[in-house]
Amino acid sequence: MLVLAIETSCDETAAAVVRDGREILSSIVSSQIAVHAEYGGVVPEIASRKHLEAIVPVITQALREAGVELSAIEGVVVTRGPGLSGALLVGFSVARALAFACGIPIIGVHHIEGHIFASFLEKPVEFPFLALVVSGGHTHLYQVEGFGCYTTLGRTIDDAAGEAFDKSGKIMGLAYPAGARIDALARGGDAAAVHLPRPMIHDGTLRFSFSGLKTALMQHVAKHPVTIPGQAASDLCASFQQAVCDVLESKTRAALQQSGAVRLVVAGGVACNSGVRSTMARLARQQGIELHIPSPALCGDNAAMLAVAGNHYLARGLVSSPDQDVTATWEMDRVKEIFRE
Amino acid sequence: MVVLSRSADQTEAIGRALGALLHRGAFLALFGDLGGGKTCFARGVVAALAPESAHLVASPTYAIMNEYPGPLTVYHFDFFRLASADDILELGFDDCFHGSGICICEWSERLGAALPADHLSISFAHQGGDCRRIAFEARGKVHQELLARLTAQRDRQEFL
Repeated sequence: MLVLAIETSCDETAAAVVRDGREILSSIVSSQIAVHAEYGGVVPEIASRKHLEAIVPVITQALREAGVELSAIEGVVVTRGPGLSGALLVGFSVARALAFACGIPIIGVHHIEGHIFASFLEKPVEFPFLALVVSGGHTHLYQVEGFGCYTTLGRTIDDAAGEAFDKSGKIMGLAYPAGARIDALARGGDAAAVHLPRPMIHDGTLRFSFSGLKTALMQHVAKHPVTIPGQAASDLCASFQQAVCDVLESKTRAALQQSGAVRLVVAGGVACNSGVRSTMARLARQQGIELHIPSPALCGDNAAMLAVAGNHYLARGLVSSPDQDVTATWEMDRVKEIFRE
Repeated sequence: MVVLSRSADQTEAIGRALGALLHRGAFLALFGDLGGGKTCFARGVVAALAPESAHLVASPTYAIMNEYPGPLTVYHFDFFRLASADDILELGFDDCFHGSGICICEWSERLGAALPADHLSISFAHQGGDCRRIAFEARGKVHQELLARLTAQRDRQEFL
């Protein structure tokens, strides 16, 4: 089955054409292409107006690159939530209009469900598994029993891991977002050089907290200003990244033990981080479990990732009803309720 | 009114004390630098107002707005990533500002002219280590009465 997938829940306007929930024929992400050059150099941000400007060119390019006519599309998969209503509505309305015009179904999926199944585009994973989702807005552990069946095991009580990277970078004087730059600087640094806290690492829960780490880094920088590039900056970046990785590792290990999972999926934008990737690879080796992390291009927000769950639902006739709307707040544990709608 | 918090737990407790006093339409404008304790304070407010949603509280920096269901809906904003009041108005948030729920806005510095005239301003300042100075200032009759009740509680040492 050939589906068109559309994502507008966050900063990115994205569209993709995917066959059978597996083969990516095209995947267009607005910030990565020259589309905004045509539209006055506007980098799509949070504002729904920017999604509105980018959505049609992005979909057009996705179809063109895939070499597919709209008439060949059998379903439109779209992020239904969570996110800002205004942003979600841009993608959802376009999806609904296209589906109506073509007489094909629309399938609304959860943004995080998309991230979790991004790995499946490269290699399907057997259920059940544990998923660690780390991004700018999420640091969550989920037990995944199947498509639509998710249980939240742990989550951050303040900053997400990606947010900690971005804000710490800002404190060090790096441009926002700073995650990739910290990763690069950390490579030449000594991770033991600066002592930083590992918040809540031994609290016996699966909850995360990264706010105190950011504050500790800020207090360190106030006393020991860093110049970038420089050895002190590299040491600080390496020490910071190590602190984040230690917490992620410890909580993920505890979740593996608690759930008895033998497969681990790591997803989200922070899964691009080289420290996170090597930490999780070591953890998986130690625990003797399977590890799946998508290629960096599939870690960040994109539309292709939505097509995995979307294709599964479409094949089973689990499509959205015409009166369904976007949901700004949507817990993963409640995704299964769509089967009853 | 100024209180000194000596820990994240105390900051959350002050948030809980305020949360228990809030009525529909309250607008909490939070100011202060990174790591000031704004999200921690918000967690306390939500714990008192909508305990069933307390586990959902997290920094809305990336999402811009988190919404917590409860007897009164709590809209938790964070304008760190926004450049100006124009962005905030364009996103249509001013509808929530004058709605029937409770608004908690981190990075209210960015609100500019979009800051509602009636609000409780809460400013967080680092005082070394885990200590934070939290300063409250009310604008408008409703929020002034709210602050008077919170001050009375502080004077009776009902929190901290």
